[in-house]
Amino acid sequence: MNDIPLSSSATSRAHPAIVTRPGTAAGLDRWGWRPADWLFNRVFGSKWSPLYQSGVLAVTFLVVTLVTGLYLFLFYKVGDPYGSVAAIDRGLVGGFMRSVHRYAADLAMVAVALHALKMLVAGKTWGPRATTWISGILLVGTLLICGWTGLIMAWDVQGQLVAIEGARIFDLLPIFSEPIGRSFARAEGVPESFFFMNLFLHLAVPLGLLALFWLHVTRVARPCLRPPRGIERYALGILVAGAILVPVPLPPEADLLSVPAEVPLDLFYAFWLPVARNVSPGVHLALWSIAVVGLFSVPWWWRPRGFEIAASHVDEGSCTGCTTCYQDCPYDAINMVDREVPSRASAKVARVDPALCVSCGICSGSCAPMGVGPPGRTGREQLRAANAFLEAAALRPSDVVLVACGNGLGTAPAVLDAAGGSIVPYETGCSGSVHTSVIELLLRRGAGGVFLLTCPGRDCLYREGPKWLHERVYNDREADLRDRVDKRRVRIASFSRTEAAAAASALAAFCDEVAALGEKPVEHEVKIDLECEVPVELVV
Amino acid sequence: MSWSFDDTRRHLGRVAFSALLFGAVVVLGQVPFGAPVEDAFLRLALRTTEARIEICRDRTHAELEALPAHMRQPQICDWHIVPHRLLVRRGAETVLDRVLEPAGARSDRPLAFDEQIALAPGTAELAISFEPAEAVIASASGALAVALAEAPRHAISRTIELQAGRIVLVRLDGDGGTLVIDG
Ligand code: SF4
Ligand code: SF4
Repeated sequence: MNDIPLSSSATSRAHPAIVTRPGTAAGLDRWGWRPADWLFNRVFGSKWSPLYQSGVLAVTFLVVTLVTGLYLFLFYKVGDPYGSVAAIDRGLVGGFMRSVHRYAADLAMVAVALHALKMLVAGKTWGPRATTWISGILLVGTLLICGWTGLIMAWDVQGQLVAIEGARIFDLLPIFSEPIGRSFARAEGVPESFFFMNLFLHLAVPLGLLALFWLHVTRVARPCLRPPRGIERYALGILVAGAILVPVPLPPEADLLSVPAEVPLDLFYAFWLPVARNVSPGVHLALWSIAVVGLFSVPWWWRPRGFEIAASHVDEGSCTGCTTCYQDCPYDAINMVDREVPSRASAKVARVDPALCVSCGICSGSCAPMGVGPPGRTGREQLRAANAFLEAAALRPSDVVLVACGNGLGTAPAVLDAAGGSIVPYETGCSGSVHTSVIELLLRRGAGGVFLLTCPGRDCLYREGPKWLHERVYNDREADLRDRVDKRRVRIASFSRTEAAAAASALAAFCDEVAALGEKPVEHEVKIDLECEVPVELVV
Repeated sequence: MSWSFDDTRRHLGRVAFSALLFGAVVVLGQVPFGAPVEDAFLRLALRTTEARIEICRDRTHAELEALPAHMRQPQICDWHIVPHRLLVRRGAETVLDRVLEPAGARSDRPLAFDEQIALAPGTAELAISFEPAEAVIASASGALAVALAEAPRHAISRTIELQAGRIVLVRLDGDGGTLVIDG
């Protein structure tokens, strides 16, 4: 058995904030994201907020686009693009499918834009996440190409404008031996081969989208591809109802010998047309180049100065090879490898790949022998910090300790003041990094209750923090909260940064529950047992 | 689970808000763009490979002797893409006067021009010519001068009705054939 001495020689910070928020976008957050976050949480509640489901909603809408697109493909004719689309549109099912296809494509772009903005605001764009960001931008690029080719396919006035203005840019690039613009300098219309090529791109590019999507999610463990069923049904319901109630109109047919006075623009894809019409192709190309370079280089310029990610580290002497951290790491940053120094404890030992680790600390919470975690945040170090906190705080039996993730609401005064009661704040990093032994220690050394305030599951900065905390506290997942702890005195609650009032009332209600439970004995010397009790000895 | 008035109100709020968002998507997906078109347009879309002039001469006996046996081609040829002048007149007014140079890093691409010019609507006597630039002709000598004298010259004049919002297309028929006006 391996006991950890909880001496008062530990650091004496009363609030050992271990905040790891790697963002830089305070202004964008305050004036852009947070008001939207507040609004959506007011309407939907953080559990249902589409803002927290932007990535998976984008996938949902893209799948709808794919399915409806396959249907439309059956009736599309490259020899008569507008005529065939008009014929599809006249049919009841065809018109509905076309509307769903178009709205789903637009909604996918909205979801993608929100997803990118969310990542930008949260600072999830650099370091080990750079690959994900860059593949995400490539995905946006392929989505745009799908959209443009889709608009051209219908060969209405909008498609004509997209094709002609797009050709003016492409013809500046040394790509094609013959200018594409020449395809539109024909009184008899655009050659069929152009529409064939356009259709090919419209179908082939989504295949590239799939490959890029794999790259996009490959850096995370257990990528989430579908929204919760309720949200999925709701989104699809809105889409179907919208397509029935407001079918997408088909604009007039393209005419190469006419300049249309008014074109209905789909701003989600053809947002650049007003610019294209008002500047020279060279300037337009330069603007696109700046945007593309700017977006791709975000991981290098949109990052906090002087902030480095402190990768997690495994103490091989403590590791028993249980594989829990390997399973729980949300970023697949841990591998089980053969020990270099043999041990009776296990043949394998956990090893962190620093290039993949984002320093979330979730492995700290998963390790019963407390042998893994980012510097200063392993279970042992958390216990030392908690002990120092207890020394300074001198808790009363009625006190409730608010253990709050500093990446979310944290110990905001709005929560503390509104909740009233006898609350002692204790801010931590991601809730999934909190070792259950800290909860046990707080309770055994005097706290009447421990209220764990986490971010909503889908808004966790590190993807799975609240999930793993919940599993460890309530479902016996390693490192589990031991049975000797009275779980009535522990509460996990998830609220977003804009739900301080709701968090405060949940906290106040918990304080009342704890008060009703009465006082409990206080232990002045606490020994925390390590769960993996196989003696770890290194055989040298 | 019991259903309360509050639940109904919350769900109605969600539906109303979603409808509002969807409405925004519908509107942004069909934003009217453009303004009434008052001009007529002349689109000049020309491309020709016929501006390429090849000048060949027979190799002298001495030149042939100096070459390895497998390289003894009896003729030696050199080619140029001749800059052309594109001139568009509407009655007495010059609408466009441009000398087209061959594009490409080695100036070896076919001559091409693709631009749209706004014109006032109405009846117009259009006169368009596309021929080797005078400056090139003036500075040419020998075989090049002869070739240039024989190079094709394109010209067309026609009275047409220019209508607001309509495009009159001017192009070369085939790969550098005659000038054609469509529309
Ligand atoms: S959780 Fe701890 S003991 Fe288990 S494999 Fe990871 S480091 Fe080793
Ligand atoms: S801190 Fe631990 S759980 Fe988090 S990414 Fe690094 S290795 Fe994985």
